[in-house]
Amino acid sequence: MLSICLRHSSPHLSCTSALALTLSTSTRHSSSQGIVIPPRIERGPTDLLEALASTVGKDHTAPHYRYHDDPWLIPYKNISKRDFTLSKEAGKKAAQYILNKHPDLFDQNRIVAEPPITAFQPRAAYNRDNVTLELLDNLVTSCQVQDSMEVFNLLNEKGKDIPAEVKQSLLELVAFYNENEAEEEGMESRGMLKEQESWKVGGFVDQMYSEGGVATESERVAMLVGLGRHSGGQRVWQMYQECKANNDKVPEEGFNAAISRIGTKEGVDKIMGSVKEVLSDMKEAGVSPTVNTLISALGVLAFTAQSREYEGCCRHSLDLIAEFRLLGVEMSLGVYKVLLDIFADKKANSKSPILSDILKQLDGKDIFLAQNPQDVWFMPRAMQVCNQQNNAKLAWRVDEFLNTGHNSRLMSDFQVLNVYYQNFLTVVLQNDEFQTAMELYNKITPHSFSPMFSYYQILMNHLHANGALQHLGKVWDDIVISNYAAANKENQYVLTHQVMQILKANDPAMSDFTGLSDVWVDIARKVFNHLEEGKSNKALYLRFNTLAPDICDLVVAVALREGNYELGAKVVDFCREEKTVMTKSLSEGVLGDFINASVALGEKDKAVGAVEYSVDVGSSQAVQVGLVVAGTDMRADQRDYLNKLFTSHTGWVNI
Amino acid sequence: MSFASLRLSASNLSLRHNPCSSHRMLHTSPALCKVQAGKYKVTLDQSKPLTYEMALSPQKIAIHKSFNSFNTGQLEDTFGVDKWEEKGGVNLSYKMFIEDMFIRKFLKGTWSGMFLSEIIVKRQHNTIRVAALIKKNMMAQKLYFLIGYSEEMLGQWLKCPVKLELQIIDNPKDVIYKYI
Repeated sequence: MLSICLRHSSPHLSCTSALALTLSTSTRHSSSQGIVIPPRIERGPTDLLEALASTVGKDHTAPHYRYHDDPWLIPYKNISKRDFTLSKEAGKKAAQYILNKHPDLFDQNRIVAEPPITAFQPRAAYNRDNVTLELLDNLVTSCQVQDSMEVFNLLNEKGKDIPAEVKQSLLELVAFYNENEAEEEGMESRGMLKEQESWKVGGFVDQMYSEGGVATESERVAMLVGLGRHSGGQRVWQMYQECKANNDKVPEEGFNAAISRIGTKEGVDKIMGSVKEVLSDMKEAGVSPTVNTLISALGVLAFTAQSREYEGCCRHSLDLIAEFRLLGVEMSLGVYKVLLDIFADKKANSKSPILSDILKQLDGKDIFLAQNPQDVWFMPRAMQVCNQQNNAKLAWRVDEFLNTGHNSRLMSDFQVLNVYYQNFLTVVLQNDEFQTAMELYNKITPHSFSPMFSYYQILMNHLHANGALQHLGKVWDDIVISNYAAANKENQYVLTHQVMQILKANDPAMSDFTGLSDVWVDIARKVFNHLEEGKSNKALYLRFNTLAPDICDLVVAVALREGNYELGAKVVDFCREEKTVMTKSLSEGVLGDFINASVALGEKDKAVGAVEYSVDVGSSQAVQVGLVVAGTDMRADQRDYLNKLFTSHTGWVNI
Repeated sequence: MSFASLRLSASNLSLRHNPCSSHRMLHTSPALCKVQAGKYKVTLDQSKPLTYEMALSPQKIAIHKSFNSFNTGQLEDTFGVDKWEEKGGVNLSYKMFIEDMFIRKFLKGTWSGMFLSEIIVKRQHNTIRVAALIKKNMMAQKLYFLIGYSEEMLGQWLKCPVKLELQIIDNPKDVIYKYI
């Protein structure tokens, strides 16, 4: 239907544009030119949709499409984001398990898939009777790894003779995927689980390789490429030597694997020597190197760059790039990423200007088609370098590059996004204007990225330093909703302590903003509730919480200053109950203020209670405060009680 | 005097409820042929809660409330066996009706006791969108698991993409429109 609409629209469009042409020309010349219809532009079936899509950018106020669109189901913490995506996938896998176990339940319901798609059909159960050579062939060509392995084993058991080509293609398939199924396109949980799988030693491929007697050329090559792809360790180099010894025709991926496995313990010159050896082998074999070869070679240099031979590595890498450019190899982002690894050392904090040079090269380019897994990591690595070098301008340039064309498609992984935004937010906060940093923070949090605890510490310091108190409410809410930025119990109290210090240091009455007093009281109340609820938490008992007394102190001070006596009284009551458990007591100044406030408001019971507390904790000003309270109009039992409290105190006159 | 009247009424009663009596009547009176679908019986103490949809009778569909299934199976001049025979192809409205029934049964069973409203089924192009209100009585991770599971299972049965659009209501009393 869409194509019909298109066909109708293009001549219509061209009519109007032609009309406009004639109209404009007629104003200049009076001659009648007639309607000129420009040639028709062939449109693809989705061109209109793509044009519309290019007008819509990323919506930073909405959660990712992975998550269900309901307030309760929108995640704000990193843990939740991971959990929710993985739970949904687990549900899908459960459904697929049921489909595979009981395919008969999904069959005869008069709903037919037109056309039938094999990927969505249940996996057939194979047994001795229904396996044939043809089936194995089909499975191998459609890249179904587990099924083809199963069928192969069954055919072997049956004693069938499998032709060599089928065996070879099966070997190649399983080596390529390392016995796992091919990863599903567009899987939502990419980058959420750390899966560093290495070669399955002694697995299906190794068995198949070794049982065939003397290996043929293609078998060796398949092993080499498979081992290289799945970090096979030293075996890659051994395999490569074997292939060389037998004069095998090694493909480009084999050479790349060999290069990437060159031993990095020797010096740079030795390494370059080995690289040149492999490259000359490549030349002899007539295989032209690609950008992947360059990336492997640079990758080896990156390992050694972190040791003393920094200069040598930098020089050699630039030489390599120049040579490959002569060969006409186009640079992909992975090359630049490895260059950053070489030049910008993580530990030494080198001030290398390499990134600005790279960005100059990349300015305005749209290179979202990744050719190498390292391409995806260019942008987070660039942002890391900006953070280390404390260069906010460069960070904005990297961000601009991300937003040109379709480059944002490279940020597909959850982990990639996290690294990128963490470094971006930190570098902008620490090196750019505060207003810009707050705008960026409000844009990114919480849907694109949930910051970590260390970022919030720095942010709050900046808030205090810049006097930007109007943001404190929102920042505090963000901290709470992200579960204190995934901090452990001790760090949570560090954060609450920090926020209370900021509240205490900034009097809302003296700022230009209205309504801050209520915000202050609200935050103080929430901080105290968090402390009270966590008092018997196994992770950090109250007796070990060294910051608790300070926090209580600050809460009472802020509450009294903002005229909220109840909150202050609540905290003092809590401190009285827990006086044996808490490491320190409330400070004298705060206690004195509280007693004065109680006396002023006529809360005599609370005042007496506070005096009792100060006596119990052995405060030096106990007598003073006692006298203050004694000076008011008290009941007889209260007076007797005070006298009893101070019996052993000198300086106390019985009232 | 009251005694006598009582005895009289008792004998009348026994006559009427005697199965062998000649006072049997055929139940064709209009009062008994009424439509009872979608109507709820009033309780003595007004304790039965009704949602807005339950409170309106089926006659009010398209006036005060909407349908629960949306599809293009009954477009003007297309419904009817002879019309479909003319066009050729499968008569889809019956198929879609049964599919909707199946979707509702499956979801009510999987999410047992969680639905606060009727399940709305909309068909748009190739996808089926299922919407409903649910109670919040599970952790979010479990809800996500059930969403993934239901979408995948329904997709396998109906051979087309199924999207669940659930909305969680905090307080189940919010959906109550009146008590009868």
